[in-house]
Amino acid sequence: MERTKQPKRRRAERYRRIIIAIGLFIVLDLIVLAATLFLSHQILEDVATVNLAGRQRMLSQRIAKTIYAAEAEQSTAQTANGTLSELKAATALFDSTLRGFTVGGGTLGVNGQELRIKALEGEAPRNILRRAAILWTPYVALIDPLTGEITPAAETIRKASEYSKINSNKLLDLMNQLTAALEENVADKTDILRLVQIVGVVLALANFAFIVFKLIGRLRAQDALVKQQQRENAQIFATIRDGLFLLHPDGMIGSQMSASLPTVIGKRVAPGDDFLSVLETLVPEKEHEAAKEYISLLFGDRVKESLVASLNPLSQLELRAADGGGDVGKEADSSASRFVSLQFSRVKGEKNEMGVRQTTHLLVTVHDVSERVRLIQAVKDAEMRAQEEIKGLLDLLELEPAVSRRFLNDTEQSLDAINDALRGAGQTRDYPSTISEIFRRVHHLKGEAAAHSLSLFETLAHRFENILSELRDRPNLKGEDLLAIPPHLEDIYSRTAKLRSLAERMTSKDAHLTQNAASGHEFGYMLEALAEKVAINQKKKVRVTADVPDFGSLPDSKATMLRDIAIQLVRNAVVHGIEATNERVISSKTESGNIHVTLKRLEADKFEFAVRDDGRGVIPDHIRESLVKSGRYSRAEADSLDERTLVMKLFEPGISTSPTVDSDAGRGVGLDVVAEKVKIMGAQIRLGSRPNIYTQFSVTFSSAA
Amino acid sequence: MNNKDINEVELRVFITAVTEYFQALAGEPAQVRSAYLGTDLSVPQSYDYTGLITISGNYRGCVYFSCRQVLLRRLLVCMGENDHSESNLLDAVGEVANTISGNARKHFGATLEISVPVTIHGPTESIRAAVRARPFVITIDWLGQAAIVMIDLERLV
Amino acid sequence: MMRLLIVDDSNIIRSRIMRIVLAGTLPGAQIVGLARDGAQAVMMFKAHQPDVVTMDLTMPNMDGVKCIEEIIAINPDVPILVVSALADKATAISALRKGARGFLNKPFTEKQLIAALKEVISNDE
Repeated sequence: MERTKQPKRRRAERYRRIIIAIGLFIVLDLIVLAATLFLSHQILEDVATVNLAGRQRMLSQRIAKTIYAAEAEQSTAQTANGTLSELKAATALFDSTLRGFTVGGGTLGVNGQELRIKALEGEAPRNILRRAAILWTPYVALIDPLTGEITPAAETIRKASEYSKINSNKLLDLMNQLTAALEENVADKTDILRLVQIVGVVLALANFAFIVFKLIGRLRAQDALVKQQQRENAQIFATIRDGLFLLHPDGMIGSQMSASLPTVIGKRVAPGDDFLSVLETLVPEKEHEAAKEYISLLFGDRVKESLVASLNPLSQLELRAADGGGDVGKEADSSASRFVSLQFSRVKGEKNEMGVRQTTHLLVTVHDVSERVRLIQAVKDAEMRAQEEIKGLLDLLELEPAVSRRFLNDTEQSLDAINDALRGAGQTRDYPSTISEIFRRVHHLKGEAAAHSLSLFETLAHRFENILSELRDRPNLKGEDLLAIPPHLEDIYSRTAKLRSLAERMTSKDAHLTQNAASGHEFGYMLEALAEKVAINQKKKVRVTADVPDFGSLPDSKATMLRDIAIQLVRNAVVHGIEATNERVISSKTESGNIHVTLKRLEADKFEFAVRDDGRGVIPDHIRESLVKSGRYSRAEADSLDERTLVMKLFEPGISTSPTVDSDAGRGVGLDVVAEKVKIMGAQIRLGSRPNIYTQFSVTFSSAA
Repeated sequence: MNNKDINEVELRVFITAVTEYFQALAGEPAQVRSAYLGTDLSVPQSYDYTGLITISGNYRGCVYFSCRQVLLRRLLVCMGENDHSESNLLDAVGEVANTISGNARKHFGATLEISVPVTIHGPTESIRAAVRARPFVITIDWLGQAAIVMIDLERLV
Repeated sequence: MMRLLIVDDSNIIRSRIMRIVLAGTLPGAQIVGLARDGAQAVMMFKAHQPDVVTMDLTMPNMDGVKCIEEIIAINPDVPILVVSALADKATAISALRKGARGFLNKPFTEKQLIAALKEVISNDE
């Protein structure tokens, strides 16, 4: 508000001189007008006086003429009353007028009306009047008897006639002089009037010229200012990096927009374009709708700007690459998507009759925030990568160490093979078949990872597959296209190496811990925790009781191997032995499956380790199914195997009775590892089972090295 | 892919520099034959000329260009150079390495600091990956002659 | 007449520039020196006062940017054309700020070199 007052005051300041000048102009005109009126009035009066003076001339002549006429009538003895009455009237008129001129008073006007005249001023007229009075006073005294009731004597007429003959012309001359003097007076006043008028007009003109000059100067200054502002605006609009424009309520882009706007939004736009139509080509339908709603909200004035700003749905907008030809600006980085932020500020107009300033335009700024978004994305990616690695490590740790080692070895071998294929491609230049080969290997890797529930590797392989399938579909494959592969390969290589070292460190620490703890309690606790974890994964309930008091007395080498066996057998019991909760309930068992782990000393250095569960038991037909499924046995061969042989098959690699593949089972590794360890330990393993009652694996071994 | 690792786009930067080098000097671009991860046996013994640029700054490592003598001779011919002395052959291989590393700064910026080229004539056994376990190896072909570009580079920041 | 000093650590680049310059498209061109590093270049510059210099940047002993500085200190008006493999903008800007007139990226073609040389010379007028 303060801001608007300031220019108002300045504007008043700026116009004051012009207002004063215009006032002066009016005052001058009024003065001239008043002077003109006053002088013209005086001139009018003076002209009347001049006329009266002129009449005095005529009257002096008439008086003389009537006296001579009376004299002539006298001699012919026919005195006419008319002549004498004419003399009387002329004399009276001359006398009253002369008296009026001298001291002021009434007389009859030229048209016979009563008239008051003022005594004449000025040296010349009064001098003339004085001399006229000297002539007139005796003259009037001689005439007076002629105009009485009685017919005048001839002598009286003769005296008057004689006086008249001597003085009439003198009187006429004086009246002539008076008229001339008065005329001169009028001429003087007329001159003054003209002068006043000329001066007035000149002053008024000068004033007018001043006003015009000032106004033009002001206008030119203003024009220059406007021009400079326009130039500066143009410079700002030309150089600013952000997109900047005014949006009209009808959705039109204003006449001035920053030159960078097309570059920022990646599409040609021009002033006058419909903004929403432009936006429509750049963003998905949903966002376009949101923009439309939001802009109408902004023009609506009902919602406060701060609130509207916080609702801006366009603060991070992903732009579609402009369709062909429309793209402008930087060299096309077509792969990277672009993000812009649109900010809107209301531009308010003058107050309306309600005293409210309404939004007339929106100032729209468009920033390119791609870099910021990319950085945020990079941070997210890094976080995701770290999480993936942790998850990968946990997945790996869940596996039996020998299994995970084998997986990592296999993976590295696959990667080596892929790399060899790439290397070989330089010679063969049969890129399609190279890609196919790599694809097969990656696909195999993905399958293996899935089988071991190693989601990290599964994801990595999956991404790799995507790249490869894109390449596979590319016509006219060139050596250069292979450049996409080594970075992915390296990624998996380095992750494999990293996981290997992490896992090795973790397991060795674990093993160390278990050995050093040297207590059956710790060992039992570890198995319970493991069972619980596997059970959660399997959505089963399990209770583990461990009775392994002598575990601590075993030599390290035996303890480590027994530990690996125990992990595998407990996992096996949870996955294969214990039924799902509902299945157990149907079989009238407790909801929780029971696993009992025991380590018994049979002789001084002879032990029996057993894992027993109260699950579904080993069902020979399930084993037959698996054998057929593994593809190693035909249906007939499987059917022909006796139960004892069938059970032994459980310890072969690649056989699993689990119908599904997940992180705990189904991969066909597990019991084969047990069998391997048993062999190394020089131990014996036995399996006892009754369907729906129990399964027990017993390992008998010697603690001697 | 690790953000700090060298990605496909960055590999392309180097390779474009190589192919354009041959294009500019001889009017015939080099073609990429393959790309793989290098092991100790990555550089064929017969590639007896090597230009090596050491990289420092925000990156660390080396960029190599290795090829046979015959390729260098053809390159010199294309440049109008008739003096095929040993020093000029070494000069040529060094210049290729120098140019591809220098050109790569268009993408990486001035923080990719590059050394003057070191040139080697002889078996490449002595060349071992300096920073990567498996450097990127790209084999190229120019007028039927093979060469390799090895990018053994890691980003520090 | 155009007396040229060629500065590059690569012998083949020096002779290539020389061949291109002497091929005839630049009337009156004449080579007054071939320097293999910055230090040698400064010496030759003092000795021969060439009209124009082509300058590599990555060189042993004294690098190109330093060398430009020293040459400009001797004769601020001499047109220097940087001919370098360093393709980043920052390098080009710093070389131009030190006083170079033009910047040509390696690898270059014959036409490109001639055009770049003509441009730095025409700047002189």
